[in-house]
Amino acid sequence: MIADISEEIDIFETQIKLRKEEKIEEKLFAETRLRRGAYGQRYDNGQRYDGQINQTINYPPMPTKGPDTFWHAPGMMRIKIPFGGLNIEQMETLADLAEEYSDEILHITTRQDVQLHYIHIDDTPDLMRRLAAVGITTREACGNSVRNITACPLSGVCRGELFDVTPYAHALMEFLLGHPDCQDFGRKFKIAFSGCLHEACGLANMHDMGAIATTKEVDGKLKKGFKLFVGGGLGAVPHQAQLYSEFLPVEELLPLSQAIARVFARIGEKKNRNRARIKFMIAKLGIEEFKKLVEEERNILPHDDRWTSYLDRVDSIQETALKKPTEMTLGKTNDSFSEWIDTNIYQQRQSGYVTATIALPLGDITSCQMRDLAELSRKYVKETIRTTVEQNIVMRWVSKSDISALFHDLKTIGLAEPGAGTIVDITSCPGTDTCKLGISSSRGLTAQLRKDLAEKSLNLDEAIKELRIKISGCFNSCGQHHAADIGFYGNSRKINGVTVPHFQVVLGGQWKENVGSFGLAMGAVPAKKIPAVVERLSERFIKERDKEEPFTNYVQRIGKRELKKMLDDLTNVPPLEEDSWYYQDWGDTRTYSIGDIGKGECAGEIVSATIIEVAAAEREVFEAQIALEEDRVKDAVEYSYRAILRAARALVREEYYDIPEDPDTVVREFRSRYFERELFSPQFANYFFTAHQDGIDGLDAKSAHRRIEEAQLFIEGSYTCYDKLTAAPQ
Amino acid sequence: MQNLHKINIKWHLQDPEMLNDEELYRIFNEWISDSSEEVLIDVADYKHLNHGPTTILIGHEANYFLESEDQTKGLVYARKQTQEGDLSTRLAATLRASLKGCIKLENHPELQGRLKFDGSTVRFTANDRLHAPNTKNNVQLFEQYLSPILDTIFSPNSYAFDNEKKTSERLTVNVQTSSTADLSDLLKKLT
Repeated sequence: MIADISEEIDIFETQIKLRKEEKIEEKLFAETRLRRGAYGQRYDNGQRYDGQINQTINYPPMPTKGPDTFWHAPGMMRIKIPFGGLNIEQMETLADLAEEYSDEILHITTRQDVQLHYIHIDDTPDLMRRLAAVGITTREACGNSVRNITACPLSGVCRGELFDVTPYAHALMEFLLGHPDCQDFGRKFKIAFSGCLHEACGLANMHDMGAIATTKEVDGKLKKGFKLFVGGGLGAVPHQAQLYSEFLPVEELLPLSQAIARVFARIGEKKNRNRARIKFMIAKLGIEEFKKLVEEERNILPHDDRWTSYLDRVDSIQETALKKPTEMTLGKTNDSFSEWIDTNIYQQRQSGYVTATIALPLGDITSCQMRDLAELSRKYVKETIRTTVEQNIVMRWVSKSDISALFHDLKTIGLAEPGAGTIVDITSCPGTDTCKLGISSSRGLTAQLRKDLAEKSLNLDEAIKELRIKISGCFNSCGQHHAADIGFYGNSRKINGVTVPHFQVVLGGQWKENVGSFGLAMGAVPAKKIPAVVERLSERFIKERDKEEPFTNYVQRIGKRELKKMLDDLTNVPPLEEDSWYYQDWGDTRTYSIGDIGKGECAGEIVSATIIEVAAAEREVFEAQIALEEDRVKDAVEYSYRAILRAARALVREEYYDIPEDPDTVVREFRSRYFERELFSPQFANYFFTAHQDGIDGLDAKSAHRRIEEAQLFIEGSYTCYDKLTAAPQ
Repeated sequence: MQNLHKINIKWHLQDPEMLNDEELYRIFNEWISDSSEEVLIDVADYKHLNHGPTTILIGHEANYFLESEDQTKGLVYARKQTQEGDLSTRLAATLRASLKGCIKLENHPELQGRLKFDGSTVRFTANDRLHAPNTKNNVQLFEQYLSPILDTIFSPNSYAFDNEKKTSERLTVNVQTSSTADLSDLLKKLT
């Protein structure tokens, strides 16, 4: 395990202890755990609707782990899988962790992460350590941070890409992870890479920052670069990304991303979380003004060797195949194998190899299946597995003559479902199953539609097979419903005073061209009538389609009025006493209610980077106390000094962002900016100056104890000083 | 091994057709509403999967779930939280809780008389690779801890152990006996 990752996890474990002792505030702890991927889950406020009343869950008494969040309430662990890349060892570890800490299920998300549900907060440090041991981090998987960086799962093997974006996605992920310039966002920041402009796999247009591979001839040489988009996003109000640069040279990818992060941190909205994504900031400033600010920031960035040091290695980081390429002609038969080949096999640009998609129902895979899949990877392809934004897994570099054997092996472990990338392969967010914000059961509806469509998949018209369905449990779009031919998002309606689960129908989104356009809302339909909506739309589309007309064009051609009319009679709901079926959600036996919706943690808590740093300094004081208790006097002194230094530097950063870390500079800057301007308690400030002057050597236990006390007082002084600095003017 | 707390115990259904996921989903929801002895939180539905657990009752102390691993459908009691006492005490307490869960299900008004668990086969899994890695020595040690408890509910020398799991999988011990006792009788012997 890399030393700093190990230290990070130790720090988090200490923060857990501190929160248990109520030595740090719940809001601060919530932001801390979110930044480490530990997310809340439905019912963690201790309330669950049982079909009749809201019942209290009697969690054992403990301090909370966030506002209205019980300590013992199980939560979700989001595990970052950069560009979806997994190796065998990582797959096996994920399987182990799902068994030991979760419910034996791994869930692949629409951003290529892996999520484990029902995790106990006390288990998270061990879980993180075991992930770190195989090179996986959960850091910044949630919260107001740079989230997982996604990329086309076919990068490197795609027939249409200009070049493999994987090394660039990887380098940017490593560069931005934990970067000081990314610690003070008002909201999350999502980045995606695509290898080409025309396919959809990377979904660059719906991200805060999207980079699409492109090339340009410069001085007679073909240079690699990116067409860069910014300010895209789904959510309640979808925004198409705006073009930032037609050609950003690869050398500029990291520094420009850093400059964008700095501008977002500096002037992005912090108070109103609903307007805090960068898309709102860009819309307000205008793209030209935004570019001007970013360019100015770029010009003053202190040089960092990491910006380009990875470029020498780009061409040497190439996946290799386990087996030799082979050619094989596959005969067409009317059986499941043939159907699987049609939908789940992709011919790679490398002759003799294919990529096989393992279609996962609702993005779920059991721990046993994951372990077995790791074994099959060992047998067929080595370390070339990726998760996809359509919640599947792809196995790349399968030698063609192995296709049949692979299919049969996958069948044995229940992973040979056909229909990848077709109407059957529905994307869904967790919805009411586990999400605190879910309104309707997106997973319940997905399971029902999959069942219905899979039963008739062999007989489905080709035009229908190609459609994509995506479902979100609420308007926040985690299921990416705007980017589908047929999308749904959960809402509810009162019918004669009783709440009925509904889904808003969203039609005509364009999956191609990196989400070329978003769908249009057509009206809410009762959840139980959604299968009928799909059936009716399918029938009409087959009947009225003009030659090879895409569904998006069909929707635009016949218009919203006609589409609404088509669905009108499906909106009727009989009274409860006549038919109670409508008053339950899909996959749930309880009478429907929205009474147990919680407060989302998606945006994290807004805690400034300064406060996070001062809290980290406070944690070091705690470490100092532990060290002293264990007679490690020198460690205790060192911890207490580091705590003061850290808190002082955090305050200085308020005015001097790029202050170096060397202690002499921190002392000098702190003295001139806080002590001499009388912004900080002179008594506490002198503790810092004295400790710095006297050093950390040769102190006995008594002196160490005094140093710890002084450090604690300095921390208190830092909080007070920060409060004064940020207090609203009277 | 001494620090092992996370223990799974599975009892098999006599007739796998006698319980389906829809019924169990409804019953588990009722258990949440009626729970007084333990903290029960939610029911997770995974019946869209071909393998693994299908319907899971999520609790604070333990989960309950139906699964068909090793071609046998049964109810797993998965203890999650720490318990008092040494490992023998904890194993006995977990076994007791697993039996109580199965009996509660057998006695559910909708299932009474229809659902029966097989008292002759039980599977123990140490669900913690850090404290109980699946090694030959640990399997023997685990069996040693189990033997006095099994002697209580079955007759001594009337049962046999087997362990066929790969080292990458969790330490698992299957117990097979010729006993035909029902679970209520086994629970009585344990208390």
